[in-house]
Amino acid sequence: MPTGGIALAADFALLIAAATVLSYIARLTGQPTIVAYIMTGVVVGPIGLGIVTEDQLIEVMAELGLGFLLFLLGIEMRFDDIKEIMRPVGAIAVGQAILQAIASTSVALLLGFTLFQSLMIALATTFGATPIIVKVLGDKDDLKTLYGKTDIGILIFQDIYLVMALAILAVGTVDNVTEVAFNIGQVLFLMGVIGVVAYLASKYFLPALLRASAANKSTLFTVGIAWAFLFIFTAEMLDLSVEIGAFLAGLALAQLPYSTELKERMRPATNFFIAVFFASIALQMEVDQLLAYWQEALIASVALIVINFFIVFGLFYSQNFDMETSFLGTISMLQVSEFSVVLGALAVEEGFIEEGLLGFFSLMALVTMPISTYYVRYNREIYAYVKPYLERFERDDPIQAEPVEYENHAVVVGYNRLSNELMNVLDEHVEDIVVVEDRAEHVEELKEADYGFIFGNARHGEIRQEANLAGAEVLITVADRVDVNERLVEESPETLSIVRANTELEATRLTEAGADYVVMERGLVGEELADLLGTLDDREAFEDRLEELNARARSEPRRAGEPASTGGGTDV
Amino acid sequence: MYEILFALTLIFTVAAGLLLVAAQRDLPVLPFYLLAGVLIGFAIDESELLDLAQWGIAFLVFLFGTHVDLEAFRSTGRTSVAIGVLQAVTIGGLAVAGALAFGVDPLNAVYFGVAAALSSSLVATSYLDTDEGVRPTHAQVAESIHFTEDLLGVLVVLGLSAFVYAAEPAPTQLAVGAGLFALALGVRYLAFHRITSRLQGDSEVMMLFGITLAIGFIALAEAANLSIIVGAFAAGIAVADDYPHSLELVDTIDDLEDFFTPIFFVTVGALLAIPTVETVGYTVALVLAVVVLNPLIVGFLLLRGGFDGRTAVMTGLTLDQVSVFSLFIAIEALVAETIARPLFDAIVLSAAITWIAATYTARNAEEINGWLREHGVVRAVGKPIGEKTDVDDDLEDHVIITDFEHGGEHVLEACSELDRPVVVVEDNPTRFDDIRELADNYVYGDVLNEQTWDVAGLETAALVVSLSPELARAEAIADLEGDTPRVVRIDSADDAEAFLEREATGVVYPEAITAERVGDDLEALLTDELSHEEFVGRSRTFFEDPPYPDQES
Repeated sequence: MPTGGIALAADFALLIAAATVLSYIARLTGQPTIVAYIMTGVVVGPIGLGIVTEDQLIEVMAELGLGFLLFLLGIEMRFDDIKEIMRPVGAIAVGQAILQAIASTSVALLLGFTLFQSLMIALATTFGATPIIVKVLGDKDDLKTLYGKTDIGILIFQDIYLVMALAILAVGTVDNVTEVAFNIGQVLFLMGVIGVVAYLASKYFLPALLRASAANKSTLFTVGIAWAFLFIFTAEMLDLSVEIGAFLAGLALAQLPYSTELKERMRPATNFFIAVFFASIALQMEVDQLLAYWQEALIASVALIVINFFIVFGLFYSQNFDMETSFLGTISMLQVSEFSVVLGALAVEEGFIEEGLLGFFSLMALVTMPISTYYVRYNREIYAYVKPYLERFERDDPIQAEPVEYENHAVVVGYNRLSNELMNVLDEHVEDIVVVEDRAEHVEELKEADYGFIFGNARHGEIRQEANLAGAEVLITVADRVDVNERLVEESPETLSIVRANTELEATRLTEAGADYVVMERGLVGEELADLLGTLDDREAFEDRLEELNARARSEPRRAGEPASTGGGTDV
Repeated sequence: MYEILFALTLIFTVAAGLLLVAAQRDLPVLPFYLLAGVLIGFAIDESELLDLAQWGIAFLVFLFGTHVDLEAFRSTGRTSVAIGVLQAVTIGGLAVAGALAFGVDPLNAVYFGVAAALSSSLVATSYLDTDEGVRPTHAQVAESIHFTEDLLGVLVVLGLSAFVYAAEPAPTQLAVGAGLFALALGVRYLAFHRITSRLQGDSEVMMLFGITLAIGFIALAEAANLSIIVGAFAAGIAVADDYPHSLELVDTIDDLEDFFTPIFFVTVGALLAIPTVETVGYTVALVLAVVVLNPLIVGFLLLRGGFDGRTAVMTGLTLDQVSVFSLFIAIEALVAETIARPLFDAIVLSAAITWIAATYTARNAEEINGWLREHGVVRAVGKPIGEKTDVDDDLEDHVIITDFEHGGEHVLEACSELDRPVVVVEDNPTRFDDIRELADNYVYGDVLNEQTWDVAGLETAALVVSLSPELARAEAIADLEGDTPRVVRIDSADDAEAFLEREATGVVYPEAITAERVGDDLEALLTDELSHEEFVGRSRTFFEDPPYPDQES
């Protein structure tokens, strides 16, 4: 500690540093960062080097991490995304929850766990690991395929199941059955009340609130955080699980047009806290707790992967999916998820299970998640290998893959007079136009308009993906930041791109990045003025020319169509 | 857990409310965070939050460090550096001397002097539109002066930890500090790209990497008994803020900063005690020094340095706020128990007061400038038109161009092709060398000054072209006496209407011009009138072989 001044909390700093090193290694070996985070606690905690103990700051951050994790889950729950495949997905999810619960209970009983422990194991091991599925499929560009969408849909159902499990665990241990029933009833009632508040807010209060806060860079973020905290705090005050409060807070925001941008803004903070949460899990664990059931964990991992494959594959097949989709969709889901660790941690806290069982969950997650990344990544290769055996069971009329949302379209980043005019020109030549804009004043106008509209800043990868930039025919961007423009151009190499630049330097940079048409406002203005100067000696010509300039400045865009912009630069 | 959750909920709810109001009214939010801290201070236990608040400082300084653009700074900022240093030294010296005269002990006199002398870009960015592509001269000058003073802030922190807080002798400490910066530069130029390139844009790991870099440097600084501010700043230097890291790393850290900033400022506000007479005395002195003396000195120095009156006044008016670094220094001193409590309170209070005042003066800068002009203040300290003027006496039918940097080179080129004489009116001395090279006739002066127009030969001119993005300047030109036609640049259809009513002969609306031209080109491409190559070629005329070197780089 220095003699003067302020210091950062050392334990916390060490934990973050260790998490960084391990997640860097994870990234190089293609592993999801969650695995690295859980390993962090193992490495720096009492099991490994023993250099970090859980201090107050870590505890607070970890608690926030869990809250934010659930908030993110809530905000990602956009029912529109899975509307078309809701029924088969729901059937698979429900069937899977029941069948897998039976299977895991049996396996656990066979391994010598008590009935209560076995039920807890069943409760905790049902989930597929979202970080692996989303990350690996995202890297493979498979999220928009039929199997990718189905898996995401199943994960959404599992989230609901997770929240209910959390709610029940939050009741805590009690002695007799009536009290349990009463407590569960009370929890469900209070949750219902919060849920209704959240629903009403998302209907009547949040749209206006977010619209007002979308005007400024920091406001949207701070309002989002405040909203999450309000719910977390209320839940804590009512003695409910804070996770559920966070989840409902997220859910209330999810269906609004601002949700993607808000989520992306909050993502760094959320990732940061989540890292602390997962890293802190093993901080309180001793080595004999982690390894208390190591043989059982290994056997259960193998057994459950095999059994679950048949369960999920059968469910996929029964819902009329074709062979390839069933197979790919199934093997992506085969792992113990980070949520078993979440549930386990909460169950330990509430006194349902002892640390050893949490060690069992952690170990299963640590074993199955890394392995599964490989079979998820090479899923098509594996399928090619088994295809000959499965082909004869192929269905005659399987569910067809839905087309991706935008195709053969134009992506327009930033809404101003220039992009508006270009949109009118393009209208007849492309199938669809999608506008990406993050200034609040255009939201109403763009929502009413005929084209697609994504509220958000194009600097976020998620936003670019949502607009399917890589598959666009035309890209028009009037974003102010040259690095955003450069990224946009780079991500759409096949696309005809029209990009605005402020300086010659930027223009050259964008051209080198592959932009087709770089708009240099200054150059064009200079040229126009030069034109005007040419007529200076001919009074009449000069006045005509001037009149033209003035009329243009005063008028709406020349080409009729959508409403004109209110002008001004864009800060996308 | 309950307490801290309650505190965080309260902080963010209040912060969100304030931000909403601030966004609606276009007000800066930082002073309100401080005030919110004062208000909710009784309800929360700020000692619980200090850990989190310190992360706020670390992030703020770290981010400031990442935005340091050494190359650009070297090429444009020489005058501003000199002015910033001169101003800070003068006011700082005066304030220290004054405090000593009032019987304050030397160390507290230094704290007082630092608070009076420095102003900060971290506050000013909230009312200077730094993101815009086209910016007026005074905003550019103000930015580099702020930047200079922020660097001075870091140096003061370093000096304080070397001379005041450290147990070891100062030279060792300073050497370690220098070593830290050398290491940071080493990381930036040798290791940074190698490490990050293997992450392939994974922003999650990139963010952690950035934070760890900050943690690492802070740990080094702490090990060497230096302030964490020095460490965080060095870490910022180690991060290269170029493409694509600006998107993948700096932006994410930026978002994270939004979490820690309200905590920091609200906590600082909550630290305030009920003001005593002594506190009020210090506060009044600080506010006077910062709001009155600083702008005066900067304005004076700018006029001496060859800037015109308007730029001098407008720039001076952005330097009337207490620096964030002064706050950091005060907090460090508070933790080290070397600052007198009333002085600490006064620094926080005057920060809140001057930040609000600064917003007001920045917003009403034009009016204040006009008032000062009417009352002869500007004329008293500087000459409106310097020796940097060269106009042929018998010039006739010429074109007068103002705000050359916003596209003037194309007009100049056209005129030289048409053999039409041009007079360039410019008010930024740092651009003057370029202009002297390109144009035969030039006037160095303020467009709001009638004398400038006399010298430029307004009466015999054929046309005046104003390329300024600033509404006030365009208005001044539209309102000029005489019949000479004038064309002004505007940025919205509404402004076009207003200016044409206001006797401007013509308006140039760049967006409308671009929209039409690019629209025509695109339509031609889509209807096969243009080939793809021709289409691409049409955009290249302006930059592939730019007529003159880029003015802004």
